[in-house]
Amino acid sequence: MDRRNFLKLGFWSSATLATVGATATLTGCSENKPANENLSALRTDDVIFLSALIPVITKGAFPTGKEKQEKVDWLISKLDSSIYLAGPDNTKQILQLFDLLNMRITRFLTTGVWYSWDQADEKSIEDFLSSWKNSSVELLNVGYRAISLLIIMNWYGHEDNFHLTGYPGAPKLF
Amino acid sequence: MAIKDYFLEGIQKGWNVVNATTLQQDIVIDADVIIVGTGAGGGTSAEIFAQAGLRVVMVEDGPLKTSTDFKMNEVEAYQTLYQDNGARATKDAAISILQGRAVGGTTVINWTSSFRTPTPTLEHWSQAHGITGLGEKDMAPWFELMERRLNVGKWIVPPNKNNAHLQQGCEKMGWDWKTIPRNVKGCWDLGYCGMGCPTNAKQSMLVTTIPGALKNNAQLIYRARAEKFNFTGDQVSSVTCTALADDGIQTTGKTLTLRGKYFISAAGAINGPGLLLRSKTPDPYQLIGKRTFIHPVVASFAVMPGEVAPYYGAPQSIYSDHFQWKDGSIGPMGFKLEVPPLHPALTSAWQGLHGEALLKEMQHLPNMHASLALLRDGFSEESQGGSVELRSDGSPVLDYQPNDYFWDGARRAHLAMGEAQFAVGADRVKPLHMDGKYANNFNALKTQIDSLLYKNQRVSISTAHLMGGCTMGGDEKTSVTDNTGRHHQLENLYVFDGSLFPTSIGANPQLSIYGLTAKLATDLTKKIT
Repeated sequence: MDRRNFLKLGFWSSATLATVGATATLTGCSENKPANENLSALRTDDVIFLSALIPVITKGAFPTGKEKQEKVDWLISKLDSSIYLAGPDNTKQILQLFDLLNMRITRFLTTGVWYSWDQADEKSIEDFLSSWKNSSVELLNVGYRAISLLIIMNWYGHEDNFHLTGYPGAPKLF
Repeated sequence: MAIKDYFLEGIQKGWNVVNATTLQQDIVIDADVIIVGTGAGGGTSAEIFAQAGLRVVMVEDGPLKTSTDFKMNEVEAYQTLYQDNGARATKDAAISILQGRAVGGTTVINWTSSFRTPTPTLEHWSQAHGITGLGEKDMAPWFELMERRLNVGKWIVPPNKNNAHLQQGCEKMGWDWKTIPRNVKGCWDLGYCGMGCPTNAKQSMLVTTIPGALKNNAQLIYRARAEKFNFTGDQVSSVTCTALADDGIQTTGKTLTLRGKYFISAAGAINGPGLLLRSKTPDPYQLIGKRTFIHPVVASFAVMPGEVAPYYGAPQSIYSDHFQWKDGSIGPMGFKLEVPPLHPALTSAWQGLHGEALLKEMQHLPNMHASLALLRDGFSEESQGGSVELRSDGSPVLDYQPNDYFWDGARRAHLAMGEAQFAVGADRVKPLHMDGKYANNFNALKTQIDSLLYKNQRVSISTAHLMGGCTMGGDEKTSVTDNTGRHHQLENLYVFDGSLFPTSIGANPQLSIYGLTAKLATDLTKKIT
């Protein structure tokens, strides 16, 4: 059965997806420790996933040359803080969502991306984002918003990027 | 010349302020009144009790952040001053919740709008909820008291363009509009109220009643999370609190036991009911957490031909109640029209886009204008609100399910806001909705709105007003507290915060909380001193 039929069946109810995500975490399919000592929540696979998503979600607004990796690393640490400071329950939920996206089978069924994220091309990622945004499965709408808003708010909200929107920044008080 | 940080100066002068993170061992504290939560209700009642000579301890799980810390940066503000890093949401994540978490509570991050509880609301409470003694005449002196205490006055500076567009839109449509009263003193008209006022102009609890209590020998303990009330018979004997680490997430392993004669739950809607549920507070009719209301907000975005600079200037100065009561209290859902300030992070989040499409829209930020419709929930029988429940780790979460009664109101609100925006010359307008697209004229917008799916997750809904969950009333079968705010089944537990309201307010709620809790705290003080 192909992926689109799986999604149309509504097989992936919120409960099912959440359970699969939780199972992945519990069975240790993903290593649960943060990827390095500078991170509080994100694991190695999460860093790979977000590194692939960032340039697509911020396309046009993100450096593409030699500055790119440095900015990716910087943004990853901001995303990590955001996820950690959102509180243990929110952290758990988003990591479970990432588990879903990091396990090959569930990744393929919910996003159409078979290969690992660092091998996924821009179009596959775009298609996955669109399908989640427009899906009738509510959990996927939530997933789209959770992932895109995390990246978008941290990027556009940083003062180095105010110029992208014409926002002059906060007034100087003295 | 730096701006005076009155709070830090007060600490230097000897205010009794404890950062629970620094505790080296478990502690036990005895006082007359223990107040959990330092927001609108907690601050107001703390000052009243302390001024009467009672020994008061205020306990707050948020951080102490003062004007020195307020850098007018959205991301930093969300991380340090908001519940869950600004990521708080309802159980199914469909509704985004903006609520404060700091000494001073949500009053530190609100947009200063100060309205007395509307008379139709007070009348509805009396008729439908068995509330006595809170009519317009009863409440007037309390609103006046708190308006003076917090310097509430009509904003006389001309509205910024974002608000002016709402004002002119209302004029063009023939809708009544008014100026919003604000709790500010010497306001610089900057527009960063939502990130903590850097000049101390906003008269939040942080710069008014909490210092007032501290000057009268009250104690403030922050970064301490109240886990549960402990009971002996029909009395609360103590509240057990956990010391939090600097990051507000980890615990330090230290416990605080606060013992008192009277206990005030003032942690606000969601956290207050959460505390009562964790405590297994007597709840014979299963009411705690139920009937939680949120003034669910829907929004409409416009791109104007000229500059708006929606990030500068007092964020809210104009409102319209044209749609609020026109079908009575319990007809089709009414709503209040206001505007939000637009800064880059929040605006980018609201577009529902990513990639180059998002960048293209964000470049228009200087010309953006947005309106909000705050829908009035809880009055009609068809609007029963949400309920607070506990997660497995004991933290509270709000489950709020919009229904057809709400979707009808949301659609009408999108249409009304869009029409007004085109009436003042918007180039294009879109309803905030996952499938919303910019329309170039009202007919195109109307066609779009008529065909959009008004269902969960598709419509962009948010809330910044949390009310109810510990309803007050005369009948214990339908209320958690009596008309004095006292828990029906417990002699010395009072709820003095916005969770008392039996319905939503129908106006930004801070002054309603100030007025009601000032009255209730004063009555209690007279009773016990």
